[in-house]
Amino acid sequence: MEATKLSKDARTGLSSMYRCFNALVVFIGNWSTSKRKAFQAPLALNHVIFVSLRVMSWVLIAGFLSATPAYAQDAPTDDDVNDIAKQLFCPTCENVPLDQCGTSACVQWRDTIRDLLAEGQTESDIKAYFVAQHGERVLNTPTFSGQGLLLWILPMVIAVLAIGGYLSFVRRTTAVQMPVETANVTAATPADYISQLEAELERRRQND
Amino acid sequence: MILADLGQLLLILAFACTVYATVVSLVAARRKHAGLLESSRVASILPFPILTAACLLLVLMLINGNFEVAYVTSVSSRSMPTYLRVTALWGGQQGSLLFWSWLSSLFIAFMLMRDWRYERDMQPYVIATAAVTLGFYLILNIFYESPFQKIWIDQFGVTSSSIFPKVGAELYIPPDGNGLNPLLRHPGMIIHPPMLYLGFIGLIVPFCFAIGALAVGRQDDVWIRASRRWTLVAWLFLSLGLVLGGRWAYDVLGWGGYWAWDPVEIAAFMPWLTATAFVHSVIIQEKRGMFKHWNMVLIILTYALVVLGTFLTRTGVLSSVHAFAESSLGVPFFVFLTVTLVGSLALLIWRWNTLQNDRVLSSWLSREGMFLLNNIVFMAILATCFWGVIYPIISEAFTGQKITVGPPFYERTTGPMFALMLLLMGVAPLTAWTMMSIKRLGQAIWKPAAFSLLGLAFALVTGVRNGYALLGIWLCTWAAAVNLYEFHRGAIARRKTQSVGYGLAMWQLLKRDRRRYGGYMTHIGIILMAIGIIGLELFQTETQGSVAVNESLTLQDYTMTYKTLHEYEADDGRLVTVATVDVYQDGEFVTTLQPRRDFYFESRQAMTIPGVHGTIEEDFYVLLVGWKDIAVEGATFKLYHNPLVNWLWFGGLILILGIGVASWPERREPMVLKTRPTTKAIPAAAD
Repeated sequence: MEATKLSKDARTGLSSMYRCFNALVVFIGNWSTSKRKAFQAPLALNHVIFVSLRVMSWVLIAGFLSATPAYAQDAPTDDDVNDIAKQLFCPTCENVPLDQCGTSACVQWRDTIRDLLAEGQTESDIKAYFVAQHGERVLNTPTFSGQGLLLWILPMVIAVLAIGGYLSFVRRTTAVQMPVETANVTAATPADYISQLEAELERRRQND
Repeated sequence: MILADLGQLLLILAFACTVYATVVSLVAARRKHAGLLESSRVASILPFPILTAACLLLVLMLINGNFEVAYVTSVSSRSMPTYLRVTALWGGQQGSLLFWSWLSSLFIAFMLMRDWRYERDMQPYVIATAAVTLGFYLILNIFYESPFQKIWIDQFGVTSSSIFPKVGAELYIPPDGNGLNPLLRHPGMIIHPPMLYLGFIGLIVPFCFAIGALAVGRQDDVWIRASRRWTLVAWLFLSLGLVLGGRWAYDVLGWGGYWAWDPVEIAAFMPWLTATAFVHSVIIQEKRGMFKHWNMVLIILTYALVVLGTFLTRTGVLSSVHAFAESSLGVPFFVFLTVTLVGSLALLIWRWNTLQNDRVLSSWLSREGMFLLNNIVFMAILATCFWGVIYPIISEAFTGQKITVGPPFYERTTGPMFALMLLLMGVAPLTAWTMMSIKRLGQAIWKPAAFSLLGLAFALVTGVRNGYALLGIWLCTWAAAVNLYEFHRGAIARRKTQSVGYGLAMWQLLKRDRRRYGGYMTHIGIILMAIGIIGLELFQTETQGSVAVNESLTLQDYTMTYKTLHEYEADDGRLVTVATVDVYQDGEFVTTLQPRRDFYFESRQAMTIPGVHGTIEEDFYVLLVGWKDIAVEGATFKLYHNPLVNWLWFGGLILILGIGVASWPERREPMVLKTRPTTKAIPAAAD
């Protein structure tokens, strides 16, 4: 999606423009509906006015966007939505990522992502929006901060402990050296290897 | 209704047997009374026929449709075919718990009917440990989650389920049941739970032997030799269960993946990690008389993780897609887990000084040193997985805020450790026992290492540029080369000395030293699986789109054209919506796929079944996500391109075959310790 290439300012500019248009359209729509009786206009006509205003707003935006090709922006595709949705979990369908979930709540969430994308918001904006609404748990993995800090630190501690434990064990035990058992030392030549293999197989055979 | 009461009675009878077996075996040990010991042995075999009868009874009621029994109502319905009614035995909490108890009793009975000549002193403690374990699960079965509860209706029309009716309540027979969860109707899901159960329960056997050895203070490895095959068979079933679970998820859950790092998956994976570490480290104890304490720790940990796994899945502590088994078993599970873990660790600490290692580690660069590293890496993976599973619980307890620990955490933390494991598989088979010089290792390793560069070059030529993938493929080729080279080296040597053909020589190797060459086979299986995992994790691509009839979607070099959509009602109570799509690769027609969505009326659940075109290189995987009214004739599809995924399944097969070879019984079990005369057994009388 082209929007990702836009500068932050251009994006906020665009999205606030879009919001203004939208608010205007909704306001006129509501107002005309509420004043329907006063105007004595039939419902269908109101509807036509409402829709045409909305279309006009889109045409205006489209015109604006095409006039400035650097800002060219398509309607978000399913893939754009899924790219973000797969990083989120809704609070009710636990352990099913949002991009796979079929419940109506999750369908709504994906529509919200689509709307936010259409407004020109970035991936991190949208994730922040859902975190603000529903808490940290919507993210598929906590960030390296706050509540999630300890989660990420412990595996590092485990790694350090494992390496440290291994090194100290090896140092401690191999310090008390036992005489090397020559019989078991690795096969130096192919002939040694063959005789070792035969000896082992013979032991196996006897056990059969 | 008489049948259900009979079932409950059988459960109580089996429980009484385990109580008797526990008490009498301990008394027999104290008094050294052979007659009492024999009596307790029979008492711990008896639950097997009794629970067999109880299971058959439940199956009979499922087939008959005795809907007055709450369990029958919850998992079956009139429209279900007979085979599904049989498998509904393990399709819900109570039934699967009974099935679990039955499988435990089966293992315990077999374990106690074997030849006990060489471990008679350990037998009372083995019996007691086994009986306590089985008894615990029977307590859950009888007092918490009985499959034989009936449905009662009181004068206000409120229904409840219990064994005995409340005052004034009457038996209520619902007209039909709720039916089995559709997710559990797939053949993969019918086999997957029993395989995992067999794996888990099989691991109880080495634990019982270990406790027996600790109790009598034996410091030899007789407990390992006696339980070795059980451990391998359990490990086989556990591995098979995990692979089948992945395959089922891939075929049915419709997300194009096989492993979601779901907490319940990890609960099953953790005992596999310790069991795998155990399978490796017991070799050191058998061959070198080392790591005796560590093997005890490992098997105790494995047992605790098995109990923890059932605890996590059955109590609903973690809510997940597997939450069908939720209930309120938390307290008894917690108590049992704590008691067994503390008890067995206390026993180990008490016997700590009795266990004497015959040798110490001479050098890090030796077979023993490599096995030690292998164990450490497995433990680090285990600790990380465990942390990821319990972190949300801890975090919620302290902050009140829930968080999700998902795949990225596990992938980033365990990924490097799995890579290290691949490297170990490429070095360890070439190391010698006791010690080895770097120079000699270099002599052994340069050929496979050079060969592995070919793998790297091949990956570069085919256009792989991802650094992780290149590292992974390089390590895989290396490890594969080393393990295959071991076969080759052995066969060449045999051919020279025995003057047999190459193929026959290899066959003889595999037949004679099953453990060693079976082990190499499992390594090769794991390496093939790793290649599949690298392909899917790093190179999976997907796209989603809505198309009208005869319109197309494109992903990689595949194009999918939507042809038709039709709906029909199947006679097992589901509405099937099937889309037909044509698949083209590079413009050439390849195949026709039929992704579909099954909607089950009774449970109001839907299942998405993909259409898959698979080759050795990749799978083209099509999901029907949604559709509009027939008049509009548009549908939404999700396409996945899954490179190398079939290597994962093929590798899984080799893994299972390899474990099968390693655990295949030899004609006579070498019970007498011929090969290691240094081992001394402390007689029980010394206790």
